Amino acid sequence: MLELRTWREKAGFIVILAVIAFFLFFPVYWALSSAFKANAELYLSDPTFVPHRPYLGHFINAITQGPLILQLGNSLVTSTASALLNAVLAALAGYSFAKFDYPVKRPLMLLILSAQMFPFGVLLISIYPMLQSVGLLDTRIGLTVSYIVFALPVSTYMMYSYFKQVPNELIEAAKVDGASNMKIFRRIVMPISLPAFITVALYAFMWSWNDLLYSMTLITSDDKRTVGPGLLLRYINENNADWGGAMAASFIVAAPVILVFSVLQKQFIGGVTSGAVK
Amino acid sequence: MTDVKLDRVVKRFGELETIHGVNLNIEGGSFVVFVGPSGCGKSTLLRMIAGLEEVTEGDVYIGGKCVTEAKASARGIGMVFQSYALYPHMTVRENMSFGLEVAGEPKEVIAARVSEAAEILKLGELLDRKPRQLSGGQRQRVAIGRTIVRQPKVFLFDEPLSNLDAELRVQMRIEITRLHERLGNTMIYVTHDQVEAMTMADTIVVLRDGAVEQVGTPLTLYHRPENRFVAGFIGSPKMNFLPVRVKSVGSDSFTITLPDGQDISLSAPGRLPASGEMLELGIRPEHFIVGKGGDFEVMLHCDVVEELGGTTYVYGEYDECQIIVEGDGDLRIQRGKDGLFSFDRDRLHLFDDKGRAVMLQRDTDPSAGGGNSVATVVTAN
Repeated sequence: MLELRTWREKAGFIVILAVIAFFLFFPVYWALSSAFKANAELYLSDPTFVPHRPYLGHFINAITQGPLILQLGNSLVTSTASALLNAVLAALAGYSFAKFDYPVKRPLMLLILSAQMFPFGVLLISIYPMLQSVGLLDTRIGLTVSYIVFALPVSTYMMYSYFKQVPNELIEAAKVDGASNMKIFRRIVMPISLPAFITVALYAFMWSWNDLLYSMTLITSDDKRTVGPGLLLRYINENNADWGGAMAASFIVAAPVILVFSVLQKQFIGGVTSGAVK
Repeated sequence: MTDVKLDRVVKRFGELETIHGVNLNIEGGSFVVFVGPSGCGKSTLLRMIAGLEEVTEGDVYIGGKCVTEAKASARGIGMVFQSYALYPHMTVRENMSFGLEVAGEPKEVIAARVSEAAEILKLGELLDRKPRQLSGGQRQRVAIGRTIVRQPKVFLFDEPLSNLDAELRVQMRIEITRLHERLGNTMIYVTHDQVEAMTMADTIVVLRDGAVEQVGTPLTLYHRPENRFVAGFIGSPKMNFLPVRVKSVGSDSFTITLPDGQDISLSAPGRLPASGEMLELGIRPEHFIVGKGGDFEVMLHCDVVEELGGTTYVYGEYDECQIIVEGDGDLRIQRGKDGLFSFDRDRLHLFDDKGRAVMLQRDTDPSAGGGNSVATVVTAN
């Protein structure tokens, strides 16, 4: 535990915190401030920190003009589906690694984790022809499945660590009660592992929601595009750089994530800290 | 009444053998306690009976049927775990119903059995609570209730009271004993606490290093230990041991010399020790008599005196041997002073250099009246 005794130590600590907070929050503030500035104010050579007259035009344009709402829907569908798929697969794999013994367990765990060692761009080289060969290129299902690459290895380890803490006696009691392995997983283990499951789902959701590269490469139809490439192609491209619009759209796009986090915050923190405090 | 039989049961974890061919017959309806120090294999043995641990070699029979390969749920057993192992997200009612639901029992049957078990264990008011809202004793009762509703032929208890405080342990001990009397099922109970073993068991199985040391009624084990380990393990405070030398050997008797040079003549119905052989003499702390009155007398230099009110423990030295004496609460001995104690010939135990008991002829048999053992070892090891 950090103990600050003298006023110098306290002042130093506050300064460090302030610097970190500045680097963390100033870009967010600047983006928010820019979103509320009209273009005339936005491109002044002497930038203003607070908008002279808050301007909502960028927000209205982002919603009413262009496909942002459609792209939001696409992102929501693919991210939610991939988050759930990822969490379910991670839970099954993590449970198997944590509670069963079989000969190839260790190599299999390493193999899954090794997927995380490669840059995502490299994995895309093999994912692209795979999706092409099964006819899933330029489909939401194909994108959803490819998103598993991002989060599944770490999610599996997160679930594995959580399941390791589930007492074996609980599982044995259910075995004596006559429950099958799947029933034990579904009725006993999963209900008490909900915080970890939600944490893993949120983690996967964030990866998918923030994706640019995979969606840009695997989706070519405008009606299936997600928000990442959507924002880039509309607001910042070789012909155009609409910073005010980009910032406003970014905040609209961030809203669902913030909402999901606010609702599930308790479970998320519970999941993160559950291993530390027993 | 369901018998349980272990036939040359071996357990290996990789190369490490932890259970070395245990043979045991447990009569139906008996309350058998497996007792022994940590790591002796008592829980492993119980888990093999339960079907939670694979049997490496040998067979397990429950009710005359070989269940070595059977699943835990198909053995007709119910198990109570040390950590209660209650499903934390379910209410008491749901915890107790779960096994019956899995077995596909009709709702009316489940409700009836749950309320019957709740009545036996006085859980009626707690049925809608979650385990976290219960005290340790209540949780343990729910764990027992969960087992009762399944109506198992054999109850298995794996150190069920070790997480409870001293007062609750005594209370639960009595409740489990009453439950056994009421249900009459075979119960196998694992503990490292020899007081639990002595107070609850019809038969005690003492284990050490994965092998059975002795099987018998509590009083047989107390009065007639077959080896030094059992003699030291059963009884609290533990038995005192003194080195003695065999001075002379006759046709059916022999004489030993105590460390202070005092000779004691003893009769042995069986094997006699050899002259000059070093033996260990055992005498329980509670078998010392304060002052004269016994067959033999020893002078003890008292180092520590613990007065507990009803009982007094005297820790002292007798010819370089550490001795504990248990006297009644009225015993007044000053620390640092010498005290005279005596003991009777019939209270002595002798062990050879391999730890085996030398059977002594006794005028009175204190183990008589301890009942018949209902578990027998066919062959240990």
